[in-house]
Amino acid sequence: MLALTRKRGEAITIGTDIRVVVLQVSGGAVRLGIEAPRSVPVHRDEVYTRILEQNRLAAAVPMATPPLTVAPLPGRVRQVQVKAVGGATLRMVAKKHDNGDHGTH
Amino acid sequence: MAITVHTSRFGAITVSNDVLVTLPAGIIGFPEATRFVVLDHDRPAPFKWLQAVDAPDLAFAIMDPVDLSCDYSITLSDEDTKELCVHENVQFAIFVILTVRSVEADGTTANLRGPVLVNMQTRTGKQVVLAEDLPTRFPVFTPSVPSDRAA
Repeated sequence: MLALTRKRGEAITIGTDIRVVVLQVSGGAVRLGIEAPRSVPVHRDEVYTRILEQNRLAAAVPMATPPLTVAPLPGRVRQVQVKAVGGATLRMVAKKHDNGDHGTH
Repeated sequence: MAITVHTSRFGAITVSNDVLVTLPAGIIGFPEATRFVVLDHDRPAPFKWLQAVDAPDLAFAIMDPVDLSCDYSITLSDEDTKELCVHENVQFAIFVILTVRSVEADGTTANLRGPVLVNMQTRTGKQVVLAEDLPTRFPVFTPSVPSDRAA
């Protein structure tokens, strides 16, 4: 592993289009700013690793009873709020076949 | 046009091309498989299968997260919003991947942190990594509202 020492405000460049800037160092924490093309996903490592591990476990489904028909995709979303500053909230509400009655409480 | 999907679990299935779902980046950890079909059991079951079209061994049990928690709402990053072309008038399917740990279903968990979103207009989607602190191993068979949901 390449190890580099950087001070606050200094940066490293990876390839031609990825730049990582040290924004702040306080206590044991370092705040990084990452500039990367949209096609390069950036994730906190521990979260990405957890999802990767779950996917690997999930792919090892032990067996299955023969289904099968082609199904409509589950979980169709009814409400989408796109925020002005970017990002979106997707809220899943009542499913189409249960008439919105979840028997709450 | 119809294509035949060869699967190690379900045999060969012929499906129409227009039911296929494309995940250009694949499922995280399995980037090589990008075309999928969603399959259902012939009897009612709470989960379905996301079967890779080009990898017979690769299938995931999936589930509508609403069946786990009535109020599963997620916030996408700006990048994911743009990549998936999220707009108010486009319908999305969101489903979560299940991990089945034994033949007994007790150990089954759902990954709420890494749902798969599919734009129903383009039938193209992606497994997203949410910033919200949702569980990656939410027990499927003890229904309750996740306690560590972000507000």
